Order: sequence, then structure tokens, then C-alpha cells
Amino acid sequence: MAGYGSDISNQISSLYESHRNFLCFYAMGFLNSYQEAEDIVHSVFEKMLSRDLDLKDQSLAYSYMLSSVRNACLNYLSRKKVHGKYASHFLSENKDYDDRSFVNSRIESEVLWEVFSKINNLPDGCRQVFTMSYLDNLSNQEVADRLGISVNTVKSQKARAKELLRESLKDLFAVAAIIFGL
Amino acid sequence: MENIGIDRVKQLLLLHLMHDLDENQEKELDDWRKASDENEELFRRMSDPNYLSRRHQDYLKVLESGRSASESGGKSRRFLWWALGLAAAAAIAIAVLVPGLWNVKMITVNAPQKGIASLVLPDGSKVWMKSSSSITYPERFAKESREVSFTGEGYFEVSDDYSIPFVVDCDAFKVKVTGTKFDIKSYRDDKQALAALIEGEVAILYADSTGADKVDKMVGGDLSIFDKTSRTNTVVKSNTSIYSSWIGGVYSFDSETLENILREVCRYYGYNLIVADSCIKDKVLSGRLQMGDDAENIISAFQDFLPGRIKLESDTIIIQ
Repeated sequence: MAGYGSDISNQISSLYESHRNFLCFYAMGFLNSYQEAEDIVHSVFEKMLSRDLDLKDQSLAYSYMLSSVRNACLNYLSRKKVHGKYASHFLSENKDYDDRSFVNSRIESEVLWEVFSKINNLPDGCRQVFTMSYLDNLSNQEVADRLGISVNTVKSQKARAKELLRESLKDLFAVAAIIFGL
Repeated sequence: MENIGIDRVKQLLLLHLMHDLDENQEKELDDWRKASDENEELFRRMSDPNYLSRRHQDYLKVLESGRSASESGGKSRRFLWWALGLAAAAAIAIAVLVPGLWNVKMITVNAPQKGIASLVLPDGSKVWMKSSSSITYPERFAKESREVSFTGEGYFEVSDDYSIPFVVDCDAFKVKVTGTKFDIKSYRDDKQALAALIEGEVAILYADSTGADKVDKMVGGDLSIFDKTSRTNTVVKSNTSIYSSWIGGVYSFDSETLENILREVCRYYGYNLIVADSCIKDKVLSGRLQMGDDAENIISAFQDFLPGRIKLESDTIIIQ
């Protein structure tokens, strides 16, 4: 294992700090519990510590971590014969298919992470209404009943939430913002 | 077709999530979906409210755990500790020495008022729940048992990767299994509770009217009917597969009274039922209903049996 005072371990430590949450979220797409996800992310960083990797290029380091976490999850699932959320779908032998499904799993987690983070930053009332309408798929009436507010308030909060989200997602497609701007 | 860039796909999916696609974008996304099965698969996941809701829970879970990690002395320090194996050693020492401090957090999930909720338990078992159902389970299962409390109607696919038993506590009785698929219907306000076994083996555990402990074994295709008043249990052969069809949004019933069918419809849509004419207690039907977004269609399907006597007023179905 590399010495803890070295540059590499400092680099890894800062990568861990900035990406730990997202990587756990990504791993949970394959697994069934937070605990498993956290263990796997830890094991990936442990391996990185023991190897002499050049991690200066941030976007390469990011891709490396994602594919390591994904491989560790798939290995874990096939070893345990546990069916995760994606079950057999992601346990394919086909290389082409495998590459595409990696890209898609990454797209999925990045989009959801982005949306959930922005939702989380909405003002309280807006957030509740938005979560119930778009994630729990409740009707305006149901949201109104649960929160004890009028249907019109639900409608206006939804419109406001969408406006705020649109605004905050505007700069999303500068790639770096997705990966490092959170 | 040409592959569109990853960033464009993300943008389109985001717009899709916000129900904000215009016609051209819709078309662009359609083309992308057609390009491969995986793309279609991803699109489906991004359109599935159950899936999104579960991933949102994942997200909240990660945030919560990340926060508690930084409160306990900073993430990086914790990571280095962990890397040195100290954190694990400390955690185990505390768990062993002070077991009372090792309280496992309990999680309760309530199904939405309308529709179906699905979730995956810490051991990989899957549960689908109907509206007005609720399940409580520990954040992590203990080594010697997997026990959950449940009320309402739920379909369970229990993971068989563990040799330890899985127990569903339904108040009136318990269902004990290792790995299997079954449906439980045990609403608090119903006099009877049902357990339908689709495959595998289970045991029903209950106390009879004298308080003596009873165990009834069931095999695949068995339906157990528990009477909460007399505390008796009857096991009969049945077409149990119809008890799991609802997880796909289809409600199947076999020789069921019209009253029970309507009660079920009301549960699904979160309606009340007012019965001014008891004739629906005697009418018996078999069939399937596709439970969609629109309850009007369901109501109109019943017009044939109850011409002019069934109506929907705000959130109440009235039979007169």
C-alpha cells in the first residue's frame, strides 16, 4: 500500500471525498442495500490505494472509478447469486451489449443524480409537491389532500418547481458541470 | 441511424422526466430508443414511477449516510481510518461489548393511496404492496432471522440466498418461509385474512381461540383463509396464480362476490364504497380488470351488471 503522506494517497483521498456519494448512489442501482454499496465503493478505493495510478486527469479518474464500481458490483452479484435490481439484464456475456449497458447505467445515474440534487435544493413546499407529483405519480387532487392545500396551490407550486428546475438545469450540458460541479 | 451524443441523450431524458419534450425532441428520443434494446430498457426505467421512486429513496439514503459520515469526524479521515481497518475493528468491538447500543433502525414504507408500491428488502427479497398497505423492516436483518411486520395486501418474492427463515408478522398470524413466492391479504378492518402460496412451501403460525400455538403447512397452490373472529385457519387448493396478477396492474378474480370486487376496486383507487342495496352480496363473478389511470372505465364495466345503479361521486362509489 502506498504511504499515506504521498501525493497519490492525497489525490485518492480527495477523489473519495468528492465522488463518494455519487458512486454509492451509482452502486445502489445494481445492489439492494446501501450497506453493500458503501462496502463496494470502499473496496474500489482500497484497490486504488494499493496501485500506482496516475489520477491527475480528472475525467479519466472519474471513468475509471465508475467502471471499477460497476465491475465490482457485477462480480459481487454473480458471486453471491443475488439478484440485484437489474438482475440478469446486466449480467451479460456479450461484450458489445456490455459496453452499451455500461454507458446507459452511467447516463441513468448521472441524470437521476442531477435531478434529485436539484429537487433537493428546491424550497420546501415546492419540493414536496414536485416529489409527490413526478416521483410518486400522485394526481393533483391526491397531492392536495395529503398536504392539506388546494389543488390550485398544487398546480402553481408544480409550475414554480419546474421553472426553478429548468433554470438550474440550464447549465447542465457543459459536461464538467455534471461530473464535478455538484 | 447516427448515434447521438451522450449529453444529448441526457438532456432528452431530463426533459422527458419533466414531461417537457416538444414534438421534435420526442421524435429524436424515439429514434434513440429504437437504436437498441438497452436504450428502450433505459427509457422504460426512466418512465417507471416505482423505479424512480425507489432510486429517489436510494438518493436520500446516500445523502443521509454521507452527512452522518462527515459529522463523525470528516469523510476523508473516516476513509483513511477505514482503510487502515481501524473503523471496522472499533465498530465490532462496540457491537460486541455494548450490544444494547447496537440498535438497528426500523424502516416503515406505506404504499401510496392509489396504485402499487414495490421495494427490495435488505436481503434482496422483493415486495409489491397495494394501496393502504404498510411494511416495517429493519435496516439490516439479524443473523438468525428475517422478520418484517405487514398489514394490507402484498406479494412477496423471498430471496432464498439465506438459509435463515423469513417471517411476515400480520398481527393475527405469522407466515414463515425460506425462499418462495406468495401473496398476503390481511387488512386490519377485514374479518378474514388470506395467504396464497404461488410456489415453494410456507408455514402459517397462529394462536387458536384457546391460545394454543398452531402451525399449518402449505405447499404451492394452497390458499389459507384465516378467520380473525373464531381464530381458525382453513387451507384449500386454489388457482393461486391469480393472487399475484395485480402486481402487473391486472386484478383477476375467480367466483368472487360483486361486493368484494368493488371493495377491491375502491382500495386500488382510494375510493369509499356505499352500498344501499345488498343484492351485490349475492352476485358472483369471475374475470379480469385492467386497472388503469381512469376509474371511469372500470365503473362503466360494471354498468352491465348494475344498469343505472352504480355511480361515482367525487371519491365515492355508490350502489343503489
